[in-house]
Amino acid sequence: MALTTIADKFEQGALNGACATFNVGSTDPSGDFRLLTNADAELAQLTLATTAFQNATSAGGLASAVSNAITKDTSITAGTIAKFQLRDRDNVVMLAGSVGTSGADLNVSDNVIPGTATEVTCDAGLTLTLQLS
Amino acid sequence: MSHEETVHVNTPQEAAEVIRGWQAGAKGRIGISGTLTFRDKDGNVVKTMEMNGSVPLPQPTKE
Repeated sequence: MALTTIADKFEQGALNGACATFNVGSTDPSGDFRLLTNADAELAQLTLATTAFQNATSAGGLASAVSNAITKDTSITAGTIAKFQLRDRDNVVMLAGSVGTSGADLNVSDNVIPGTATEVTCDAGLTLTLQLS
Repeated sequence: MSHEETVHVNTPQEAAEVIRGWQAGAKGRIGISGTLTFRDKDGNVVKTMEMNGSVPLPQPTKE
């Protein structure tokens, strides 16, 4: 049975708590966003900021948090992206899922990194949302 | 016999754990979106990749 009342502030707090998990650890200065093949080979790894996400906002039952600046990867590998991971500073996976052009956890317009590509950026950052019911 | 338990929350990580325990009555999804831009050695954009998706919140196992 779904909860009858979930305040925007509650969702905002929940998303802030979730985003804070990317800042946990001491192995690396910050967490990361990885793109992997189906065999878990790394194609690209973009570095999150020391504080990965900005404070969440919430309205209309949807909480949203935008990442702080993400550092590009200048040594990427061409290939087909099949999985993604968001990890904390100790490289513990916090979020992960499949990547594809449709029907995947993360759908992309085109999941192939071309052979001519040498770097990848995420200029506008990542946005996480949370909707509870 | 039911009992009350006081939970002390001092860090965001502890808060996330408490909130995770409340999810027995809530469902939801974490959405993720963004755009990746791939460039060649000369800095030319060779591909942009818009990403949009979500993963479900894990449901706790009942004892």
